Amino acid sequence: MKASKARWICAAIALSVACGGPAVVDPGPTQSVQFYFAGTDGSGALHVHVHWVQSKHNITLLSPCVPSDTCNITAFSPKGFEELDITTPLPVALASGSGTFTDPGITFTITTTNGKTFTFTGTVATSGSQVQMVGTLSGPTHPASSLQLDKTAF
Amino acid sequence: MPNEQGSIARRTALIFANAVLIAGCGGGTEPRDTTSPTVTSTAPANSSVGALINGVVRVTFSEAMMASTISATSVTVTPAAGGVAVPGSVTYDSPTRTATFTPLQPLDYGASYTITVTSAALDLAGNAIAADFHSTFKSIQKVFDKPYFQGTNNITSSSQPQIHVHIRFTQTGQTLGRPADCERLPLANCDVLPRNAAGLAAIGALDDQGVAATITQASGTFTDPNISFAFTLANGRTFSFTGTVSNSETMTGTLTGPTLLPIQIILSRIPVPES
Repeated sequence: MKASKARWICAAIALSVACGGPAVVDPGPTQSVQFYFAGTDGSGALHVHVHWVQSKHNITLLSPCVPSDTCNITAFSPKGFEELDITTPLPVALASGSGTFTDPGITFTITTTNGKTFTFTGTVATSGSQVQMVGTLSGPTHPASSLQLDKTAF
Repeated sequence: MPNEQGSIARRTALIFANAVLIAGCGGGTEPRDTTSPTVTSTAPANSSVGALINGVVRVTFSEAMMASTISATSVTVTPAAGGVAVPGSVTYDSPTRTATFTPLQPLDYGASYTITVTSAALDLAGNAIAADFHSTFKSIQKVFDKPYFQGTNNITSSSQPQIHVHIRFTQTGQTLGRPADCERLPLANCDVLPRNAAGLAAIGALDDQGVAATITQASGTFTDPNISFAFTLANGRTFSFTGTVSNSETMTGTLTGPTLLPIQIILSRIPVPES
């Protein structure tokens, strides 16, 4: 009887060790990016407004995000008009957006309602109440350029 | 006899006259003034905000004061956070029983100050105030230098005009003006951008990259927390804003103009990395 019990204990211990011990729960990133961010790319062509909803490491565009002014891209130069394929000065709304926040690393892709896709890769830094993303914006119609997005109040 | 009678009459008259004189003078020894003077008001008022940085501080007493005791020693203005008293001169105006403190240099923007009147201040009878008097006020915020403010009005229908405003001011006391170094796109900080067709109709022709209308003139008044300003675009259209400023970070109010029915808008200070 005693030998049987000891074997069960050993088996349980062995199983626990084999599985790596108690499960570790991912607490998610320390920083938060669940805010509205705005910024103009280094080429001066595009002004980006993006509003994220965060679930641990996953970020998705706030939905619905209209008619507020927090999910769109505005051309700030003739080059921007070309890249966005628009002819009016009005912003183009974002139809979708999603990404991964590995804290401090962040990568996301956003797509406009007229089908233009842009990808951002960078890092997030928090200082007091300010949150800033610094990285590179690129896309099929947009040569890679620097982009700084700042957490912005409405 | 007649002389004696006349003498008695004169003496009686003299005694009567003395009595009248004594009665007229109030008689006896006058009670000594032992009442301590008090401060009845200050300007800026206690707990007030928005004091001009180049203004004066006034303290009014309950009774006439001994002018020689009203000085930069008995009436002081000190940063509420501590430190040395603000250097300044003090004068006393007898008719209004008011001491006036004039700072030798402008106060700091958005700083709290304490007005103190010490027991060195005496009334004409030599009575001191019962205890040191303290009153506090806060000077006007300095909110309209760099960085700029921006914001877009919310709409519930696409038929409503939606516009995005970037604005920056110089601030001298309560007076606001347009900085000479306002930047154009992409670092625009004195312009208006349409966010929909109705917004474009309200703004009119866009001069900067065909995207934004530059604010070429701006002026206003900031009477913390109230603010009002007007601006003119490069296309000649004019707009005015009236609202309030909160915590140096946000101005909330109404924007309107000949081509824009009143809209509610919140303009927020763009983020600044905190040191």
